[in-house]
Amino acid sequence: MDTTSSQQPLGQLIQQGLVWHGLRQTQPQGLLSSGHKILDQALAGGLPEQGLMLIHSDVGIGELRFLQGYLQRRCQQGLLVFIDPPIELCHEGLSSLGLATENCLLIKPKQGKDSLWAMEQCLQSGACDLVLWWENSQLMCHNKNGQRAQQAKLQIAQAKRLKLAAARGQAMALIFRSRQASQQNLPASLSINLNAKARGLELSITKRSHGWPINKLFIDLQTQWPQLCVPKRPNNITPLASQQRSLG
Amino acid sequence: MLWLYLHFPQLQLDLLHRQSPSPSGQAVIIVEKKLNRIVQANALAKKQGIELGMGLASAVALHKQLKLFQYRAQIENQHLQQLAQTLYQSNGGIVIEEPDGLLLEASSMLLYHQGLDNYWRTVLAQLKGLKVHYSTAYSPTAAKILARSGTDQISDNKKLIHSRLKQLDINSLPLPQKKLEQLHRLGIRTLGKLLRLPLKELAKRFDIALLKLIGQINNELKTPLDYFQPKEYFRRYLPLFYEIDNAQQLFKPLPKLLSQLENFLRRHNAVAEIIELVLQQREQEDLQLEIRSSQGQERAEAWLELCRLRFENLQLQAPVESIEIICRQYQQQGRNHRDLFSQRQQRGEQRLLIDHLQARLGTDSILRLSSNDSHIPEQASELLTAELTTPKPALSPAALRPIFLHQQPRPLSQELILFHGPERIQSQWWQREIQRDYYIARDPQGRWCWIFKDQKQRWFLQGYFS
Repeated sequence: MDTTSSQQPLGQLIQQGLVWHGLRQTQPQGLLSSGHKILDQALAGGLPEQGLMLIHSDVGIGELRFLQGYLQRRCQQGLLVFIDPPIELCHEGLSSLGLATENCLLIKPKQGKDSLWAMEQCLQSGACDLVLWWENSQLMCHNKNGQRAQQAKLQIAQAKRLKLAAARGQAMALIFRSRQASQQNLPASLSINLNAKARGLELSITKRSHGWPINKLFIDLQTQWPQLCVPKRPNNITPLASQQRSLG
Repeated sequence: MLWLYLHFPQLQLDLLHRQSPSPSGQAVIIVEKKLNRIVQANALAKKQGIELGMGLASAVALHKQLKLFQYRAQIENQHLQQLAQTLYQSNGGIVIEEPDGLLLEASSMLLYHQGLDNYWRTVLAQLKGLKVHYSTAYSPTAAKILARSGTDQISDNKKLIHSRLKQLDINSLPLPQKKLEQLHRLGIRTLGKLLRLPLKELAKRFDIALLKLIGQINNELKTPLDYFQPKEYFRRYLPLFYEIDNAQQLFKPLPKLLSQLENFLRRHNAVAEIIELVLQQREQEDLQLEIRSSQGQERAEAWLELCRLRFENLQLQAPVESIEIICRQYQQQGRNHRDLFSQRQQRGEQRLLIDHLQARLGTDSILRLSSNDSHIPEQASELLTAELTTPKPALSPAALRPIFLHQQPRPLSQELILFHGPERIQSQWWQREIQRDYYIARDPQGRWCWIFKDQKQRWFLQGYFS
């Protein structure tokens, strides 16, 4: 009797996925399909439903489009909050992603330090499904607006707070960072690096809460976004040297 | 008819003591500036030998460490209004006798309260912390004179009241000094003696004012009464015992005011959407703050939380002398029911969240996207402040649109490869002339851009397909 009761907390911890087994890869609870088979397989089910996700990427390479399926599935009734987007949002663009724009909320704090506060409030309120924040949004879009030079930069303690807030409100925090951002060990559920490719994205997972990192996964965006892919050349056409260079 | 008169001899002083419960060891006096006369003094000041009616100089000579306030009839009047508002719960007819008295019509309330004693207990419970002289009588003027002379008697016995009236000193009558002296010289020292005199004889020697007064005391003449009507909005004024120069400390006296607001709203079965806070600053203009709750709120705690957020980035230019809370608009509760279905409840949470964000970041920082009837990309979406109105959903776009859009297109500075286009977007003839050919292009870093060429063949970057 005694042993079982003392073992119970550990069993609970394992069940909740808080103890990580290197050998035994259990399938953690609360995953949502990302909409890409290859990624779902690599992540043993999909992207986490709640927690903190870091995305290291440039603006405009498809960092939101590749999440389309996930965003649609994740946003049910709650708010979808955009904090400090690097450029103004386009209404039609968001609805072409399949998002209900009437549930979107845009927050533009006047002071950099308020961004994190707003994010924490949104996450823990229980009213939001997803909160998207662009760290260093000024740098990302080369904005010359000098008065807000003191942009919030995510520290470990802050990331922890956000993660706890997300757990409380059962929300997902998506943080977009520049690719140059320091890869310090933030307590994120998932940390993704994105690289632009001609017909999709090259994705590397540098940190995962229930598994090993994954290197260089190719996400094909051709079927979803045919207009935003470099078309395949017929074999009998040789491109000009200059074009070949820029296409990489 | 039985009347009850309440006389508050030191209302302003009691108010000061009420909000900061123990300014212990401090002798406080309130001075009427024009007459240079002490009108109110607390027990400690009186112990030092300070008497009402004394000049300021003699008071200071008696005791050096005096805390001095200026008498303001406005404060007392405002508080009388508040008292009348609270007493209105248990009383029908209330007359405000400015600046320091209330006249209550008691006889019609006795049945409801089951007796005079119960009635008096209910009234007294609402006057906590205030020094009050009171008396009942069968005419308003008699009750007033009795209460002001400190009778402190509650009775419906006509004989008892009459004997009390008879014993009253003639000096306590509201008559000019000259006339009182005249009565003295005639050997009339008590009211009883005056009442015994035949009116005819009195009319020969005195003017109509005295006769009128006697008539009103005997209830033979009617006293004109202006009955109190409860205000349709909430307004509370709180003078501060000490000036406050820190916004965080300002937060402390608020709960009391807000709980009064809650009581007011509860009584009206209403919720407030906006409250105004007026902070009176020393030698500066009043600071007016508007605090909103889009959902409508009546709970004091919720308002307190919103006020706290609002105060967090508040800069005071000068110390604050008083706080006033005004609530003009309130709505009937039950307008939006909360029910068990999850979506509705979440909507409530959303509004609460938006209130919190707005309180700290300002209303213009929280925005919603709405569509606008325009083909020009930068005019097609509109940012609205997050009010209750639901924004218009986007029309399904004819062609692909970027997620990020520069409101002001930027001149294109680097080499791109065009993939799709052109898509021509042209303004209507009555608008500013715009004619653009849009292309989807990719830059060397692999970003998908939305660019256009205008009429003058200049290239611009408009957005990114993130």
